[in-house]
Amino acid sequence: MGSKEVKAGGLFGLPAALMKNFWKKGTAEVIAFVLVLPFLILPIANTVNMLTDLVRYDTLRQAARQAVLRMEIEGGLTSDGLYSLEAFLQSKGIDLNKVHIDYTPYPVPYGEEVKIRIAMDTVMRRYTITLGGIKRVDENTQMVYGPISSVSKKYER
Amino acid sequence: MGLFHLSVKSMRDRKGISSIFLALLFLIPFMIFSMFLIESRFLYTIKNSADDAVVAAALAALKSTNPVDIAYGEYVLDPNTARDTFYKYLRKNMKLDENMNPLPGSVAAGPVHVDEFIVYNPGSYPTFCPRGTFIKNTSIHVVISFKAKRPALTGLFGKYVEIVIHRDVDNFYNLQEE
Repeated sequence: MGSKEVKAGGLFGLPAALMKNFWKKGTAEVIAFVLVLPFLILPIANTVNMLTDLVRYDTLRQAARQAVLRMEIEGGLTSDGLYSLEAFLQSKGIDLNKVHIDYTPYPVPYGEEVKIRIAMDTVMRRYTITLGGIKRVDENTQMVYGPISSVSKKYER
Repeated sequence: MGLFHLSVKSMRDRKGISSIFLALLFLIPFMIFSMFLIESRFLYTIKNSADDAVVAAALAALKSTNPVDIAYGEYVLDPNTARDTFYKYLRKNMKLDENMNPLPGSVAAGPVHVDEFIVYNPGSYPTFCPRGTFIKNTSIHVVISFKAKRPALTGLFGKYVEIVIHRDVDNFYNLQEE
């Protein structure tokens, strides 16, 4: 059956026959969907990446808050405090090699300033639409929380 | 030519157009929801950062002139010294200038107002703070407010969002047996 149709259509009959089959019902919808798909994927991917960055920043914030409260009581960051801080960051899946912690070390006399600053090297990943399709843009940056300061309440006679 | 004619015919038959419309109908609310998710998380982080700044500054302001008293729980704060210390550390922690205006890197998008600042010394407690928290130790009651910049959805909800932070901070120390 097929060979007979080709013969009847001649040399240019084949693409036309293929096109006719191609444009059967439903194909246009599929093409339209494929065209719109990047616009659907883009917000999902960017939302996930942005939320991940915000969660990571919030982890640094929580770690700094816990540390400054502890430093206020203990009079600076003790080695035990630093260990707890690093363990907290590690438990949240943060690579300690990328984290820089500036802090006031123990001991700090009563009434003097204690402070902490946590910075982390990170890559912010975003997706954009270009003529060639979806493009991934990675930006190396540093997340910084602090410095956050308080006063030591450690009193020793 | 055949392809072109078929495309035109398909467009005329509105094949695929309905898919695009459906996708767009889904896409617009979905994008708004995504932005809302990110924005709420962002503003929540800003509020928490400011809360940390207030707590750390209020703890600094609880510095007693007599450090021995603090160990016994009942100690007296000089309200003016406490206020000065609180402002000093709030400026540092929130990156503010002398007039409480934001410096680069601050979470605030406008001046930070200290709406309420009350020192509760022995004799003035037990009581309730103006916002209903029970005060039973030497404490500092603070309410600050500031505007934060909305990262998205400015057309829907306005460019800025007002953030209010209320904290009642006290020290709870007792002498520890060695």
